[in-house]
Amino acid sequence: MSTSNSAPTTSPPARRVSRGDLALTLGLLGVFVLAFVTALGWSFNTGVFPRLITGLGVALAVLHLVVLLVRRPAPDVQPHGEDGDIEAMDVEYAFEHAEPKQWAWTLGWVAGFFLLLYLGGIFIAAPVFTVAYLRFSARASWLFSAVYAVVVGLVLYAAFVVFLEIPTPPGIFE
Amino acid sequence: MFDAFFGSLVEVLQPGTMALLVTGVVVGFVVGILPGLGGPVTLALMLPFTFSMEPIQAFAFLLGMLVVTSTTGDITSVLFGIPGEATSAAAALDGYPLTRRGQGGRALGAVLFASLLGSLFGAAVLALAVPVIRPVVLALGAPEFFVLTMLGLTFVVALSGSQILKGFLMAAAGLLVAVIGVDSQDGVPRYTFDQLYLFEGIGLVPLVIGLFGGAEVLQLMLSRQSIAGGAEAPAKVTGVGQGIRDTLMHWSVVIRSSAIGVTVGMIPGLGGSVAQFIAYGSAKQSSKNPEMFGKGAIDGVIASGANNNARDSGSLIPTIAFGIPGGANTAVLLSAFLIVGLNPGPEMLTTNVDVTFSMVWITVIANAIAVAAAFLVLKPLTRLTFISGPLLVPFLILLMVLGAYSSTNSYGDVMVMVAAAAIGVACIRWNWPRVPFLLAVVLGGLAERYLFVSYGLFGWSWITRPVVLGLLAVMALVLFAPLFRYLRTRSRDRSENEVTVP
Repeated sequence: MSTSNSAPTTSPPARRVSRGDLALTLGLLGVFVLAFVTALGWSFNTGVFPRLITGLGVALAVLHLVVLLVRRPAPDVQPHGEDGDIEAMDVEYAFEHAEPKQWAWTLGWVAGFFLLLYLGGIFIAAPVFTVAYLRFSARASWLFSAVYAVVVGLVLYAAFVVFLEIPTPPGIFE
Repeated sequence: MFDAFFGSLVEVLQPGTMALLVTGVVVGFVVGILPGLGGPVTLALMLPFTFSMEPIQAFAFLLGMLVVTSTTGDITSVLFGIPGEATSAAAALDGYPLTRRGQGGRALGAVLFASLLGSLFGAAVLALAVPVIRPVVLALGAPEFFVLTMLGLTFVVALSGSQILKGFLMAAAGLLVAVIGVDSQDGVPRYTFDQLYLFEGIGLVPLVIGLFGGAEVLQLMLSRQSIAGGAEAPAKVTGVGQGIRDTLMHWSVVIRSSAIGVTVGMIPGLGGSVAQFIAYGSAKQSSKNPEMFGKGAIDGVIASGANNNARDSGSLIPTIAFGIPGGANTAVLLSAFLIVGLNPGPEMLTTNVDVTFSMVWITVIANAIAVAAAFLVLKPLTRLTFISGPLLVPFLILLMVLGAYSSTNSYGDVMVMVAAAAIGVACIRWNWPRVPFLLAVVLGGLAERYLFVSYGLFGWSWITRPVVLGLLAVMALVLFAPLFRYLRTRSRDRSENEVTVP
């Protein structure tokens, strides 16, 4: 796009490609190419729909890549979030403004929970994670954390095990 | 038709179904008041509870919950200026100024009663739409339904934001996810990488839970503060009766806003956030005191309330008749159709018409219960807004894991949920839309089936059928309209620059 039409008083915005956008587009392009090549090996009945959508995906990813690399970013006039979605905007604000330390702390808790779940199953992970998270991250008292863990455990046990009668995730040592 | 209509009321009034409806209303009530927890997230978390339910029971629970979030979301908008739901933002514009002037009760009476009237209007339109739309739907064949599915996706992508290319990429990714599993035509495994778990395809429940719930929980963990921030509750809430009288006096605003809500709700992609501001603008235009809008106009509050609930019923019409949901809420609700073994489309207007009519009654009864309850226990419930976000985290994480795992009782479900959560977080962080992805996953299987039947019956000549061509033309129009708008704006900017630059 030529910049000669811009008003002389305003400098054109710098061409800055979002690394996140670029990574996501390249990632999708790779997935679509691999999926398309795989679908070429299938019969017509099996492969026609996957070939159509992955072919379209490749074309769209290439187009988006070109747009990302060539087009100057437009002024961001629309608030982010899907359809101006307030919740999405809140979440986006939190993600944008969180410090790396906060991210590490949060993802550490998430990883710890899933490790506990894998090792001990839901009935070990639930009380241990609840008490630890409430006490050390939410700064709740020991008593509150313990009572919360018991109540939440009972509610979920009643809902999933007693009422719905469905199995719960076991740990590898169970 | 009349038998089915009243028969469905009898089914909804069964004690078990009513108990589930009331449970859904209670959950919706709490979620609607809690800012930060949206309808789609809660719907997703509640999907596993519907596995063993009959269709009408499942919808009594889920739809009862969904329609009530729209009603109660207005409460925090009016009392704190913080919308409980995205679709309640317009209610804050005039509701909160009224509260600050000591007329919070009046504003609440108006917004809640207008919500009830809006839901009645929407339900009536939904009921009347069934006999009108049935011959249309029954006249359509597989080719038309295939193009309608694609048209629905196009609408959602093109009308829901400025990121059209990203939207289409996400939709293509969603369709790709939808074809994972054993092909139903020839029994060939597709993209399964020899993993037995993937032979059945990707489960909708863990996907929906991760995509919408994951990001919300992470946000609560990152922000680590009270959900309502530093807002203060009003000292007293009086004048509710005056608000109800105001609503009755402004009956024309109620009808006009409800009509706008139903109409916009029927168009996939436009969504409630748009509908509420169109209704708000319309109320302002027709008001005798337009200068009061934004400063505490009661007709602005009424317009917002009536619009929300009517829109919910409007968005159900294309979801039921064509399987084309209008946005995130109805996309998740469409997953529920598939979970309870219902196929949207002709079946919902013939053999399962009682389920469709039950939705009319559920909408009305759920809103009536919610509004009555809101008037009775309003003040204590508003304290929910001050619950600290991190306190909800352990409960929500456990609910997500148990809900996801219940899909096929496999750790694969938990891994799908975690992967979907990562996708959801990346989407929000870099402004990629999630709804087209989900919609494509939900519609992908249906679309492939329609395409296969169309090809089997007509070869590629199905593309030349008149209705198909008409729908393709509409799709092209929707696709290229933003391009035309862009070119026109560019040309106008260029001519303006030529005037200013000698």
